[in-house]
Amino acid sequence: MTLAGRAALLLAFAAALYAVGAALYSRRKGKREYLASAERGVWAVFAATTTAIVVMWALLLGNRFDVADVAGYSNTTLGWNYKITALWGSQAGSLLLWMWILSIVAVLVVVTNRRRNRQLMPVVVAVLMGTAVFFTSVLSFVTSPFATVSPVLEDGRGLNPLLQNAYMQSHPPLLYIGYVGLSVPFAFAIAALVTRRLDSTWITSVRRWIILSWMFLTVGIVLGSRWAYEELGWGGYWAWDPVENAALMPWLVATAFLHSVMVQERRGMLRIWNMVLVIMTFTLALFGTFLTRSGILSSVHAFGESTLGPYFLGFIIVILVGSFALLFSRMSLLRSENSLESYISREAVFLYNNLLLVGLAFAVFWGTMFPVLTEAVQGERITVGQGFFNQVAAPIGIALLFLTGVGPMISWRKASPRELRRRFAGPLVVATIAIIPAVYFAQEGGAWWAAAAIVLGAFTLACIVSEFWRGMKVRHQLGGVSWPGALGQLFTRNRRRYGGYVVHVGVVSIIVAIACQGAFSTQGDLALRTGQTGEVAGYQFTNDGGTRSKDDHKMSVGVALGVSEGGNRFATLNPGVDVFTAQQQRSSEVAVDTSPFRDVYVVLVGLTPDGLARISVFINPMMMWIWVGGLLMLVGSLIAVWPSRRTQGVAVPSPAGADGRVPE
Amino acid sequence: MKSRSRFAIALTLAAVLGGWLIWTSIGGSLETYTSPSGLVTTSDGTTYRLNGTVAPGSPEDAAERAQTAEGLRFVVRDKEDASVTVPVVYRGNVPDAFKDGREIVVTGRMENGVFQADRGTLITLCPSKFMEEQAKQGKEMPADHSAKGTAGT
Repeated sequence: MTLAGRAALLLAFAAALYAVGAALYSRRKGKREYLASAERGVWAVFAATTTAIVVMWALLLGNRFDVADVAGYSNTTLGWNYKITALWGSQAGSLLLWMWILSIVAVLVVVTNRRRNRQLMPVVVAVLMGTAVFFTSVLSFVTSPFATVSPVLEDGRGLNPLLQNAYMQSHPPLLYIGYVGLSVPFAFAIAALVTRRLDSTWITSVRRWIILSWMFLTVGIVLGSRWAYEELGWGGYWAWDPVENAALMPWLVATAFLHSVMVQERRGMLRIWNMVLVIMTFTLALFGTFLTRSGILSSVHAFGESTLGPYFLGFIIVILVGSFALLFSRMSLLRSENSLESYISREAVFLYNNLLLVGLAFAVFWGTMFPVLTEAVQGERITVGQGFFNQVAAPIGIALLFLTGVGPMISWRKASPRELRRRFAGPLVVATIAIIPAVYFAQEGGAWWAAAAIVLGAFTLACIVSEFWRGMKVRHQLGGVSWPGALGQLFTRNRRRYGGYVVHVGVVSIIVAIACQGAFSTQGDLALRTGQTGEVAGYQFTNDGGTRSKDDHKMSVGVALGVSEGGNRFATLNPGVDVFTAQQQRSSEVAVDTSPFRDVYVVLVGLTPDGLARISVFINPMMMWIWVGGLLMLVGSLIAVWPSRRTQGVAVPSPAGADGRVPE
Repeated sequence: MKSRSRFAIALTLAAVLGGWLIWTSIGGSLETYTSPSGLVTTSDGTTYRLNGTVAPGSPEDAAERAQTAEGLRFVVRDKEDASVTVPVVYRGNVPDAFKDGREIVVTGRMENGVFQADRGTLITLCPSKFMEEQAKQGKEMPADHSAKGTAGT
């Protein structure tokens, strides 16, 4: 069966190689029919990769412990749903997942572009399948998911208990969908460069792909944080770990790209910049996988010893050098159609937002790679603490929050002072009112960043509300539509704009919550015998007694904690610890009481036989709003990409389709 | 052209400002990554990020001890040379994956032959078991397994 898997991957490799060749050959005069053949090659890659992944799942479900990745990440007692997701516990398995998603994405691109972009498609197919060639060759020749071991183990080692939860089942695939989705805008950008069709067609063709990929990345990152918060039991959700940074960097640059394409669509500006951004986004997506999979972060030597690392790095360098050389050769075709007229205009705000986002991505890159660089240069690894990241991210985050509010309110080209006064009067009043509670809170901890976030958050929220209000008023007064009807119309008539505003509300929610949590969270340790009460930050915790249980897989201890504030008992929390017998590993089960203003987060550190419970308590203000913000960003993105009925009926004639050739 | 040069100036200013921000922030947060063999001679107050494995004999109730005033005492062993070890004292959150033989990183300073760890800086690396054997064959650990145990603020 492992043979079938290996054969399927080799077949995928061959088909991808053929698709690249046929797609490029179809660009020759009179060879157009080869494009259809290349597209069938894409389907073949999809079929072969699907076979490979199905075989891998069958091996996992069939407890085939002669396969290294089954023995290493599964065992007989693991539930079937975790056996399925154990696929992305291993390195080769996660690369296989990546490849499978890529094959699905490529098929979707082929299907949706049967009648569009026919001039671009040869290069698009070649780029996507070129990436597939890389991944299938890695999976076939460097690190195979079907590698076998001898002697064969009786039982597998089991899946790390930390990964046995819904977050880890969904977080890696979501991130990968985001990463892989970003290869589509990249492929279209390269196609536009190669074919010299550098108008905005390629951008409009991939608009949905950009938003959707970004949405998956966002949800993936938020779920990853949520996993860290609920499973790791240290009271936090983000630690600027290189693995987290690897996902954040492409997200930041993709966010910049998402905004700057609007400037190109609207004003024909920033055309070179957009190319740079799309190349950077895709490279960073690859780089993220490289970072987490090459061992370079533990040391340069580990990287030198690994086979995958140099291979990946080589691919990234080829992509970077190739894309930038191509971009350079087309530079003269990418002149801006317009120039910046004023520093107070929508396009200028987009530019500032881009600089900040890319600047932050650069700082994160710098901080993540610093140990690698110093080791390579000085032979000593100098690492950068979390303080660095927080210090850089705080002012940039605050500035971005401000731009989030200001941007949509300023008109294109040039904003007039009169218009600025009229539009910002309301939000400024709201911000001024918000100064009072902000300063009151900030004085307690000297947390001026948090105060700034609260004030600007209020300001930005007021800006967004006033945008909705303006739109609704026009529809209500001129169209005679009811107020709720007017709100509905805003969403149905201009999904992208108002979906974007919903995303912005989510951003405000997240930034303010992060600032408040960072500034005002408190932590305390308690050691309580049964019946005893201790206090942390004004909350009283009473030990109502411990429990112990044992079954085949694990030994569990738990404690019932009554939580009260000012004599009013409002919750009973049951934190616990499981010790898994197979791995001899602990797994803390944290207990959280959530309310809009704060989380009471409790970890059971240990329970002695005589009933002494040691617990760690974290009071995290506003935590809920991080998750609410993530949800709003998801909903907003969905609104923005939802196909609208009006444009669906009208066929958009693309210049590429004008050559009259309809394939197949 | 005038707007062009103005734009260039603005861009340079932004770059300088950004560079300055990074430069000042990075200064205060540098830590030298080292193994027990890199430590033995030093006792100079430099902040180190110590990387090694937990030597056999670490307490069963590590997490509980780390909350007491005395702190959790354990020994870190060099990954390459098992004969080189450093005693560590630590207080704060202990990641679930902490146990004998586990690779860890902890931040702190050497004082009188003992590594005094900063509160809440203990993290464990790679709790996945099978890859340990495979690492010798040039395969790597999946880094998204690295359990984070660092304190948030």
